[in-house]
Amino acid sequence: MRNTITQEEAAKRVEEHIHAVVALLPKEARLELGLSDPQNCDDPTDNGPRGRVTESHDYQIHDLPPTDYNAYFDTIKQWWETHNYQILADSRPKDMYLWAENKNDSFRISIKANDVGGFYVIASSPCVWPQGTPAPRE
Amino acid sequence: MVTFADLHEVDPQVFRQGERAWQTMSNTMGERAAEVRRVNDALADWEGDAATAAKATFQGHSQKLDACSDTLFEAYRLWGEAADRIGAAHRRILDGAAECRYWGLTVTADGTIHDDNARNRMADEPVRIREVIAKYSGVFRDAVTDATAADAQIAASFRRLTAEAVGAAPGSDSTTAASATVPVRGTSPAEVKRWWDSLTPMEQESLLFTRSSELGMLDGIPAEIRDRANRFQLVEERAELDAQKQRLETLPSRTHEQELELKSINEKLGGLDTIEKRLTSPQAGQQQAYLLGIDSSGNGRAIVAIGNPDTAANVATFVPGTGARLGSCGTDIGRSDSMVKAANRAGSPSTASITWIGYDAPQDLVAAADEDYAQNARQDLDRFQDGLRATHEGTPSHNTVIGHSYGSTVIGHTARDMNINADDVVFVGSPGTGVSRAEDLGLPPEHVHSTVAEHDIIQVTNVFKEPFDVHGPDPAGPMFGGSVFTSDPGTSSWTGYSTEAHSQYWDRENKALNNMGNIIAGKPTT
Repeated sequence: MRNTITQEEAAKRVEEHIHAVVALLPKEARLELGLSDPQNCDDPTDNGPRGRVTESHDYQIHDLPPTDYNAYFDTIKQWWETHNYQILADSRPKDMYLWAENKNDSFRISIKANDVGGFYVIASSPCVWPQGTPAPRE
Repeated sequence: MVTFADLHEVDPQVFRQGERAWQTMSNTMGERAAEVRRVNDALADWEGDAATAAKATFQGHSQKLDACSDTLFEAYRLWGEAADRIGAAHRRILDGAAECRYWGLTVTADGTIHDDNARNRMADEPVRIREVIAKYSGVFRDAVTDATAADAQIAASFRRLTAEAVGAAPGSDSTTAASATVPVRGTSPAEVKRWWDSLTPMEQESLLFTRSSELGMLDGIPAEIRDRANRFQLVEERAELDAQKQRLETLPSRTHEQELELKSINEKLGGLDTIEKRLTSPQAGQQQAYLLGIDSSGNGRAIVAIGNPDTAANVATFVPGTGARLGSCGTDIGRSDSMVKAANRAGSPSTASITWIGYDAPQDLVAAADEDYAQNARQDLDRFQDGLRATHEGTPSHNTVIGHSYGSTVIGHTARDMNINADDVVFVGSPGTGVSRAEDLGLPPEHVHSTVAEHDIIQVTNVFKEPFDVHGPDPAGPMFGGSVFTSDPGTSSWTGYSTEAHSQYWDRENKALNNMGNIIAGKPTT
C-alpha cells in the first residue's frame, strides 16, 4: 500500500481541474455547486484496503445558451488534448458526454449536457488516504 | 345528559390523568407483545410438533397483547378527546360566568342569569344588561349542548371497547377490527394499497404507532408511511442489537462463535448508524431518503430510497450482489445517490433510486456460485416492483431495475420466472442471469442493458460453457442479444483482471455511471 496525497490536497486539486475548464467558457457562466464531499472507496467484494476516500465535486453551469454547448465541448476537448489529458470518451452526438483523465495525477473530469438545457462538470480524485498514509490494519 | 352544574363543576384534569394512564398501559402492552415475539423468534431453530404448538401459542399471545395494546391506545385517545371537548365547554362556562359577575349579574346553579341589581341600573344600562344576559344564556346553552354531545359520543366509543369487542376476552379467537385487518406479508400490493386507502386518518395514525414493524415491510404501503413506520422500527432494531451486544460483552469470556457474533452485531449497528445519518443529516446536494425496510435478523436487510419513488418520474431499484448486507449498506446507498445524480444530469425531471438489500445475498464468491439465493429472492423482488406501481401517484413512472454482480442474477431469475414489472433492466458486471438470451427475460431486448469492464474479474465466471457456466452466459456477450453499453476498462493486474474493476462502475464518473443515468432517465446509451 502506497502513500497518496492527502484528502485536503485532493479536494484542492479537483477544484483546479474544474476551474481550468470553466476558464474556457464565457464569463457569464455561473456555477452552482452540486455535491462536494468525500466518498468512500470501500466495497465488500473489493479486497482492497478500506478507509480510502475520493474527492468528487460536481457543478451545474448556468446562464449559457444550450445551442452553443457543442462548441464549448469542442473547445474543452481541444484544450484537454493539448494539456496532458487523455480523452477517455466522447459520446457525441448520441450523448453529450466528454470524459478525460489527467496523465500527471490521474484525476478524472467529465462534462455532460442534456436535452433540457442542463450543463455539468464533474471531477474526482483517485482513491486517497485521508492523511496521505495508509491507515493501520485492524 | 350533562347539566350546567355538572359542566361547571367538572375538573378536566381528571381526563388528562386518564389519558396519561391509558397511554402508559398501551405502551406497556405493546412492549410485552414485542417481548413475546422476540422470545418466539429466538426459538426459530427448535423443530418438531411440540415446537410448532408452542410457537403457535406464543404467536397467539403476542397477537392478543397487540390487540390489547390497540384497545388501550384507543382508550387513551378517547380520554384525550374528552379532555379537549369537555374541557373546552367547561372553560366557556367559566369565562361566561366571570363576564356575568363583572356586569353584576348572578348565575344560578342551573345556568339561569339574574340581575339582582336591576333597581340600581342607570341610563341605558338596562338595555346593555339585557344584551349581556341574552348573549351568555346562549353561550351556556351551547356549551351544555356541545358537552352533552361529546359525552354521548365518547361514552359510546368506550362501550365499543369491551373485551368481547376486541376479542381479548378468554375463549375468543378474533382480534380487534384494526389488528385483524393488517394484511399479511405476501398480500398483493394492489390489495394492500386498497386496504390502506379504506382506513380513516385516525386508523392510519393508530396503526403507524402500534403496528410499525408490519407496515414498514408491506409492499403497497405508500413510501412516506413506510418511512415513518420504519423509523420507529429502526429504534427497536437498535435496542434489540444493543441488548444482544451487552449480553455478550458482559460475559467473563467468549467462545470464537460468540466473538464472531459480537463482531456481526457491531457491524450491523454501524449499518444502522449509516442509515440513520443518511435519513436525518443528508449532505448538501443529496435528496431526502426514505427507509422502506429494515431488519437486523440474519445478515440484515435494508431498503433505502434516495428520492420519493411515489412521486418521481424515473424510479430505479438497485440490487447489490455478493457481500450485500445491513452492515455494509453504506457503499450501496452511496451508489443510489450517484445514480440519482447521473439521471438528473441526463435530463430526468425527478428521480428516485432505491438500494434494495431485500434478500439474503451470498456473502462470498464460493456461495455466489449457488443459484438458490436468486431463487429465494424472486418473490420479494417481484412484489417490491409491484408495490412501486401500486403506490405511485399520477402517471406511471419509468422503472428500471439495476443489478450488480449477483444482484443481476437475482433480477434475471425474477424476470424469467415472475415477469418482473419493470421497463428496463440493467446488468452490471454479471456472472450470468439464468438465461442465455435477452428475450427469455420477458422484456424487449433493447430494454435489457448490460455492461462489463474489460478487467472485471467476473468475466472469469463466464469463460466456460454450460454446464460449467453456473449462472449462464455473460449478458454483455455477443450472443445474448441485449443492448450493451461500455464501461471504463477498470484497474488491470498481471492476470488482466482485478476485483477492483468489479466494483468501479460507480466510481469517479465512470462511463458506466453516465450510461446508467441515461438508462434511468430514458435516454440512449453509448
